[in-house]
Amino acid sequence: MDEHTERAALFYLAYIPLDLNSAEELIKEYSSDQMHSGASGNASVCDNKNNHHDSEEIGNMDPSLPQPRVLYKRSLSTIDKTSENSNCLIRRSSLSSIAETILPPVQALYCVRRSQLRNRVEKIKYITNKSLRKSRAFLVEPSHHTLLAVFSVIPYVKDGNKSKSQGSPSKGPLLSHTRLEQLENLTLPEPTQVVGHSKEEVSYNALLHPSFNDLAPVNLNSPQWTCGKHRRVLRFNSYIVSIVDYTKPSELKRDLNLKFKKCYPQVCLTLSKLRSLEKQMMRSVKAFGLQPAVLTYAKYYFERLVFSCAINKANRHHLAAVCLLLSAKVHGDLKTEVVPELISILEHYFKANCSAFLPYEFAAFAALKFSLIFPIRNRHLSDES
Amino acid sequence: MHKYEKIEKIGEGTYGTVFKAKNRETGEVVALKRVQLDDDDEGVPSSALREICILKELKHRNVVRLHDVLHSERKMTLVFEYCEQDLKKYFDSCGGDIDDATVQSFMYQLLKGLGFCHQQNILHRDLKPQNLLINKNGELKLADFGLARSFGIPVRCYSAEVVTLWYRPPDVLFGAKLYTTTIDTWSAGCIFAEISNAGVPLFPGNDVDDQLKRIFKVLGTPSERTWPGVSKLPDYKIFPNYPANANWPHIVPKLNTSGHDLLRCLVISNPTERLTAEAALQHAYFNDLMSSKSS
Repeated sequence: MDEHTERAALFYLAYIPLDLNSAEELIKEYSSDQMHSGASGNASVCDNKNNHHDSEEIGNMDPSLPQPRVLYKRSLSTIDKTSENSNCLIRRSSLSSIAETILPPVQALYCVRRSQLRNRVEKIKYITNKSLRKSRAFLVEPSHHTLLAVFSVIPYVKDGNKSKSQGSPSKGPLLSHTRLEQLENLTLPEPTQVVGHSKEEVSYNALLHPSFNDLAPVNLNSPQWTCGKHRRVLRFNSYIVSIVDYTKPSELKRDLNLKFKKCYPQVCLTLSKLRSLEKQMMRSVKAFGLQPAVLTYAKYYFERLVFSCAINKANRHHLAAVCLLLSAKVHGDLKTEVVPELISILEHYFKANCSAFLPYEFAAFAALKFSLIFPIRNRHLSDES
Repeated sequence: MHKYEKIEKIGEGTYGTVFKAKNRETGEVVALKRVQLDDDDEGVPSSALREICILKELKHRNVVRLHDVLHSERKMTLVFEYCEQDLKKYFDSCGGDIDDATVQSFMYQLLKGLGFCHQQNILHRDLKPQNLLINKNGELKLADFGLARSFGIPVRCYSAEVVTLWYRPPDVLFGAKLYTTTIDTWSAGCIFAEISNAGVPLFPGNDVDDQLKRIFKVLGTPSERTWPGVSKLPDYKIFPNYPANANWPHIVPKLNTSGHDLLRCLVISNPTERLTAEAALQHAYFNDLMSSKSS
């Protein structure tokens, strides 16, 4: 990301009430949601007596503007506490006090690493590009300890399409027609047909056409599949802000599953099931000490099968195991003698006997059109590297 | 096996029996590689999987063509284009002499096929005369992609147990796990010398140590100066300090001067200095071939 852009974005973000209307709207939503849920507790999130730090980086940018301050709290053990607190804080606030607090410079900033969201609040001393990148920050007004806003800093993506898809999750079709066609073309020969009773040889000549650059997978890591509808995106000329409401994980899961079902009605698996199987893949990759690239490919194969409707409730474990097996065989540089060992690990993690899933191996291979080696071009890889 | 009529058994491949067969409908002669699948504790052999998914992407006149994959409950059959012989058998049949034009043509085709694989991000990793097929028109084709893999994705390491000993480059012999396309060009260099000498291998070592010794006796023992990082390789060992005194006219007497130079650039111990297939094709050795082709 262009460093200058990031700095500028950061700077503006510190002054989030750039757009007063949207900030007010946001807070209105917060308040109306939370006000009547009963107020209790005065726990304060910030400790502004001894932990002030002037941010030099931002201060240097324009000394004429008041300098935002960074606060960090030493003893904030869990995010649960924070979210609880922030709820309390919101309850304490009224619209009028918010209107007042919007105007003075925002003075407190909490940063929460997304990945560690459940575990802890990260203490930050100075705002640096690095510390804020891919982070979620809470802006807290110090005198009233009021949560003003929550924002995330995401890297600027030059590609217009990408930022569009991130920006408006609810608008427009998620799948283009070509994508749908691509997916529909991918069909799994019934494993029973392939391996079951037929003694006849089946020719797979039709699959032997070069397929480099054929398929682009659906990116399930994109925000649209991680935040659900509990997200509001404000787009300005130089930056994008997305505001993520606090949601119960169970609620988020339900929402995402519903949305997923709506977007891909042909898929017989819920998003959370898909994710849990991928987690299982990750565990077996770790248990066996395979390279991350093997996992990446395995997940990619599995997703292709999922989106081609080849996977249902009954065979999902088998096919997940088989995808990992295929990926390990092709990309893992395994010695032949360790393959049985890998298979027994798969048996353990996918709770199936190898005689149950090995028959799917060729079927899955054929359903993937024998295309196991093309370069993966989307974010799957860059996320992990 | 209805579509194809078996004619004869050609040999045993790395993971199955190879037959010569004829397509009953078209009369086309093909090679069938039969893989038994009843060994059910491993599933489909990885080399067969690799061969299918890699050859599927490689359509080139110097890469053997995979026509079809037949699958039934207990076996899988790969249908390849048929080539009369491999380079090893060609050596046996040529009676100790291969003319310059043929050497040049084989080497050109080998590098062409290899350059194409590398361009498609595929490493062959097992180049040797047995895996180079020659059809009756004198076309040379790379075959047996059972050890091949794609590269260019971020990986921590590759297997160091690749390439038949005689054609294995020094970096891999020292256990290097991050090699690149030059792993294949070393093998190509060894094969180049072998073709020119009509079947006498360049470095026929008995084991890893002997192999390295034979290489260093010709090319000189590498040092940190000639090959930065060599002593950090996993299986690095100190060898007697042989001077670099390769007498190419003596090793490959039938090659001309530019041939000697090409060979010298292909068999360089330091992998980063080794010529790539693409660059080797531009070498002066092929100049007259290019001009005769364009005219």
